[in-house]
Amino acid sequence: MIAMNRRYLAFADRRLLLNYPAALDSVIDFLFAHVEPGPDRFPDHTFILRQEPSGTCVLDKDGKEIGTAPDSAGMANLLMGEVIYAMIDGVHSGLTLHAAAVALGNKGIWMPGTSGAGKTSLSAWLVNHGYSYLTDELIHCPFGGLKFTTFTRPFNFKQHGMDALDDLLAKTDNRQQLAGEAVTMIQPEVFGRCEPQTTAELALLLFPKFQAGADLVIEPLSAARAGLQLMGCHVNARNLAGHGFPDVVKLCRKVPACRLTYGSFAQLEDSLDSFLELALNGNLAKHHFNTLCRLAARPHSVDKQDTARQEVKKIPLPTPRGEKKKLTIGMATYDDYDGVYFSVQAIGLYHGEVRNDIEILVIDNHPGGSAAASLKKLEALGNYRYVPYLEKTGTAIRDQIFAEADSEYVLCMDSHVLIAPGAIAQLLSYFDDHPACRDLLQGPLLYDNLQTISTHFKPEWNKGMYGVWACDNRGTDENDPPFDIPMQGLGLFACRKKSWPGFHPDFRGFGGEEGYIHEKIRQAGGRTLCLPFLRWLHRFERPDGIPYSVDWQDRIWNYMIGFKELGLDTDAVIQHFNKHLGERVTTDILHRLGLDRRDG
Amino acid sequence: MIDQNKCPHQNKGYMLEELDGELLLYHLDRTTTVYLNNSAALVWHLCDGTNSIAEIIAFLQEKFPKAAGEIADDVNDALVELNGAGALSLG
Repeated sequence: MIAMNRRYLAFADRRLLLNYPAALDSVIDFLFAHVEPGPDRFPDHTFILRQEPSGTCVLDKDGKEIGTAPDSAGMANLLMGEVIYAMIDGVHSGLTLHAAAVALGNKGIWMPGTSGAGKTSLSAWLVNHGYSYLTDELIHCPFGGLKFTTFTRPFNFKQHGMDALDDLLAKTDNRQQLAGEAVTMIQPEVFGRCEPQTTAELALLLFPKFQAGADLVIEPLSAARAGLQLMGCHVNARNLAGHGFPDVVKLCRKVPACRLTYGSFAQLEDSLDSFLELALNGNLAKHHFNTLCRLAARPHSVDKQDTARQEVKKIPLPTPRGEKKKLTIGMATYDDYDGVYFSVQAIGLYHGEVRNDIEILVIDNHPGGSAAASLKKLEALGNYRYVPYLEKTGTAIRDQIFAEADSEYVLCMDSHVLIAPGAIAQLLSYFDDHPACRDLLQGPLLYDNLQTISTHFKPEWNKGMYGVWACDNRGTDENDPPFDIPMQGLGLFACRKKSWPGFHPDFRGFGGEEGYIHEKIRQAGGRTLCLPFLRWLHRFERPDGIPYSVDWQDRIWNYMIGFKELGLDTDAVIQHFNKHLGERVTTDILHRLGLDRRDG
Repeated sequence: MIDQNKCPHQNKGYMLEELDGELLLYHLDRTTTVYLNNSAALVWHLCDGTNSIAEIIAFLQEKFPKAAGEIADDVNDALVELNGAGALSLG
């Protein structure tokens, strides 16, 4: 009588029972050391492993022979494949995906891919670099969340994968492995930590593609592209309603994704680990995630141009706060060094009388860019503060100016605006006379001929924008008293820091701010005033183009949520864009934004 | 070159998900997923069986005058690709 042992194996909502000869205990333990037995219930399938006197192993499933192998290595391979198939076969409680996974703390990285994509090798490299191993094969993600469980087996290296491992394996004496003809299994502890009972949540989808000799490329993937890839790795689709397609899409909407192409482990050193650390812990906006992908995948080249490019990755430190001043003059910039330089230096040259009353605050919205170091150097001026900022881009960055300002009053301006001599001193006097004012203060825009002005915007729609430049004669003499205006371009404005109402937190990109912020000030009990002395010159021409994009989708979104917030008529927004872009395009954009529902 | 008077229409049986202007289509019976970038998604929406290819091109040229020169080729390429993927019929 051959002594038999039994072992339960669980994954997702499946449970299997394996009966095997006691003589194979060490092999079975090698294979399933990290697989939990699961809750005490009747198994979905029962496997019986038999070993014949010749050494041949025979595998039965639910009383039916399903395969044989000539030796224990072959049996290990056969058994692992059949167990995984049986695990996948009946899972209904969530998505089951063919993917490797590692974790750093409670942040999980999935590496979905078909056989040969390099999942196993890449996860071994990551485990060797401090990540915790979860699986190289199978993930289960219950519906509705990002928490997941894994089928944690030993690494299964194909022969070509083994060739790449020499460096990693050389770091340890412990080669816990089971070598077969096609596959070599190695325990994860050989490379690092293995913590399969993690409570990790999915934080990044990383689609690996190993190609010997290829350059390192980290390419951000849109949610739709990630969904396409993930559907190809979705192994229990037929068990799920809609084949799990809506659930895959839902998941891809929530989690950033990128494709990693690499040709050797050497390329990953100092690139992939740094990238992942920032990607997992940075809580990055989509735009910044995309930038990070590009920065991390810069080739490890030695030519001067590439060295210079790599240097721009260093983000300068913010300037420490100085003595509190009466007025902060703040501006945000995105790679516009020239604009900032001339705006700031013009304040120094033509407004020397207020130097001790002001701090100049520059929020750098692209601190990894080529202008960052030069912008930082301007702190030599003494009353200048440089602040790198990555969290938000677009019009709402002005909120950050107010958040950073260390003074009672704030003048917010574009980084390419020049202020008429004497105007800042007059503004400070105005604040002295109206210390608790709740008003938004602006002045006439001066055109490039230095004579023509626009004192305000008329509240009318024109070419996709609410507001049309206009001139009120009460503003033509700079000595005239202030007067109420409906709205004005936001190239320059000032108010008490406490009176700044802020943008709707969901504002994105550019557009929709004029009129919105004015109405918000008025609804809070303030006035929107033109101070005729507060003249400003704005650089409109950009012969080299602008480094950011302005799109209709963002603009319509901002108008719609801004108008809704203030109780204004959103139909007017839709009517204008129907006329300007065409009804079909507008309807399509509203649909994409989820704004086509009356209750939305 | 496809006959520009044809009125392409979307094939039935696809589940559709929009993600930031891009589209993913999934066909339950064929178990195939089709990805459409922003431009192809726009073309797809216009393929309702009533618009001819020439009308689709003219409409897009009017809406995107800066890209007018490339739109005819882009639309035809997208239609060929979507037809090949089984997502629409050319009419």
